[in-house]
Parts: sequence; structure tokens; C-alpha cells
Amino acid sequence: MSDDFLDAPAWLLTVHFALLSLAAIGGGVVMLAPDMHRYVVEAHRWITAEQFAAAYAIAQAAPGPNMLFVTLVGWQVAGWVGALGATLAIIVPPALLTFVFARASTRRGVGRLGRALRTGLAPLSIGLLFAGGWVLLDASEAGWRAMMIVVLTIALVLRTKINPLWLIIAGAAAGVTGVLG
Amino acid sequence: MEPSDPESPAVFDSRTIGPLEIFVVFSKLALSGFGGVLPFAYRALVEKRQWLTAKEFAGLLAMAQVMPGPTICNLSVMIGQRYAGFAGACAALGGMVAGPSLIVLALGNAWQHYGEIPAVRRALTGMSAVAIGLLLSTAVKMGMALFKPASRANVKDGVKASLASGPFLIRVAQGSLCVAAFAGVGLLRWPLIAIVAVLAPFAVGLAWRTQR
Repeated sequence: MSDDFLDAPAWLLTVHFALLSLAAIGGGVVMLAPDMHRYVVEAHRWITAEQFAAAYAIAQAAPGPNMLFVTLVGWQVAGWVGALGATLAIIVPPALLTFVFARASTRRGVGRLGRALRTGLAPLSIGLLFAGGWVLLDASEAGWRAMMIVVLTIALVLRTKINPLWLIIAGAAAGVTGVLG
Repeated sequence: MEPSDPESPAVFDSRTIGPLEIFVVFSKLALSGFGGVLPFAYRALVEKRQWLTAKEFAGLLAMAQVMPGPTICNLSVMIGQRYAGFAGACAALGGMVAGPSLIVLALGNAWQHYGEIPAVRRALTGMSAVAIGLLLSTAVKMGMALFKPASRANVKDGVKASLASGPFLIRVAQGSLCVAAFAGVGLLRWPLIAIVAVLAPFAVGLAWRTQR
């Protein structure tokens, strides 16, 4: 009974995500995507690469924090329990840490160590973001047309101030009309 | 203890904002935040409700970024804590996450039922490509901000700075850390925690030594 529980995907997923949550330095949970993908798709084969990519895309199209793709990943792995476990695992450990930190230093500002952390970890955050994009691209087995959409999106975001929601809608429209083949 | 000037704006900390109000405000701003909540949080908390000044917001945001975990959730915790302690932190975080996660689950549920329909599949393929493009464009933006050579505007101090601390070597070191993180996690698929445990001390140490 207890062994079953300890081996249950929902439990394993929650523990793994809780550990990961504290490694999401520099603020982006997206940078955890490669490791989540490695864990749930490659190591445990709980869901397919396509399901993982779908969870990410769906969460992007919804309002709210972008990190909520973990809710969907959890749901796909183990239903409602998985969704709750994955979401709490990603949110609660950092939130507790932040709460303690906030209470201790409400008015003292960031300080030298804080600045060193922020500037020092920036290159890592950037490398991890690229890795996240790479892993999702690799998993989605995008053809050259989808690659064009990726490149076009990057160009539009860098050159214009367009609301990302319109780009997501345009992407869906491009898919439905068969532009992507 | 009469205030000398009754017309002066209230001191922020003297205002009472309860957990329920915090929950409602954070729910609203989270549910309107398509493609990133931060701009909406700024608009609601600084401009509309004036719970915080722009400067206070920037200070809290910097701390939220330093802490591990989702920046916007950390920011919620800090603002909630400030106004209503632990209950406020829970209310802000709950408001930020509860509504949007139900929407995401509803969409996911719909996808599971209708995902096999070819049109839906194709739509999601297009959405995935855009989502990946959005992610990579954030990485490109952050990379440009970090590695951009001194802009024309500050070429004057740039010369001084480049002589002072040898920023070329620092850039090479930062670039190497960036590439190492990408290669380790993206190409080699090593566990993230191992990569961060090895690279983060170097990265923070480098920043600590080159500060000022």
C-alpha cells in the first residue's frame, strides 16, 4: 500500500517538481521545461512529447502566469491529483522562501549579494531559456513551415509591440487553414 | 497626533487592505493577463489602486527575481505579506493562480476531447510554434540586453569602463556560462539541478568580484 503510494506518478511528479521549483532562478519556470520534459516524457514515459508541447501551447493561450503549463502536465500525468500536486509543488516552496525573506527585509532593499545573484545568474537564465525553446522545438518535430512561424514570431516580438495573444491566435489560424501543411 | 496637513496622501502602511480585497484584486489582474501578468500587475497596483509607488514596485520586483520560483508569484507573496501578513500572502498567491489554473484545466480538458479532430490538431501545431517563438524571443531580448556592446549613448563612459574592469573577458565568461547552460540542459539533457549547482557558484562569484 505505502509502496504503491510512493511509486505513484502523482507523488513522484510532485516531489520532483518541488525540488525543481527551487532551481528556477531568475524567475522563469519556463527554464524548468527541459528538465520536466526529460522527467515525464523521456525517463518515465507518462505522457508523449506531443502532449507536453500541447500543454505548453494551451497554457500560453490562457490568461494568468505562464507557469501554469505545469498544472496541465500534472493533469495529463495523473488527473486532478497530479494537477494539484504539480501546481503546489512549483509554487509553494519558493513562496515560503519568499515570505520568510520578505518579512525579514521589508525595507532593506536587495543589497550587494542580491545584486550579485541577479546579475550573475542572468547568463544562466538566458542559456536555460534557449534550452527550453530548443527542447520544445525538438519535441514538436516541427517541419520547415512551423520553423518559419517560430522565426516570424521572434521577429515580430522584437520589432513590434503586438500583444502576444494575437500572435497565438494567428498561429492557430495558420494551423487550421493548412498553411503548415 | 493630528496629521499636520490633512490633505496629504495617506501613508501606505496605514491603509488597511484585507485578504479578501487582495484576493479579488489579484484574481482580476491575473485573469486579464494574457501573454504575461507583469504589465497588468503594474497597471492595477501602481497606477490604478496606488497600493505601491513605481519605485516600491521596482524594488519588490528585483527581489522577486532574485528568489527562486515564478517571479510573478513571488511578487504576489511580497505585496500580500506587506498589507496583510501571512493571510495576505496566501490571498495574493491564491488569487494569482486559482482562476487561471481552472481556465487552463478547462482548455486542457477540451483538448483531450477534441484533440483528435484534425483542425484542432493543426491549430495547436500553429499555436505551439508561436509559443516557442515567444519563449525564444524573450531569451533573445534578455541576451541582447546582457551582451549588447556599450550603446552609442554611453560610449563616453564606456571607454572608461572598458579600461577599468576588462569587460571583454567578463563577457566571454558570461557567454561561456550561457552556452554551457544551454548545452548541458538543452543538448545533453542533463538534470537541471546538477547544472545549476555547478554553474551558479561560478556565475555569482564572477558577478560578486566584478561589482563596482
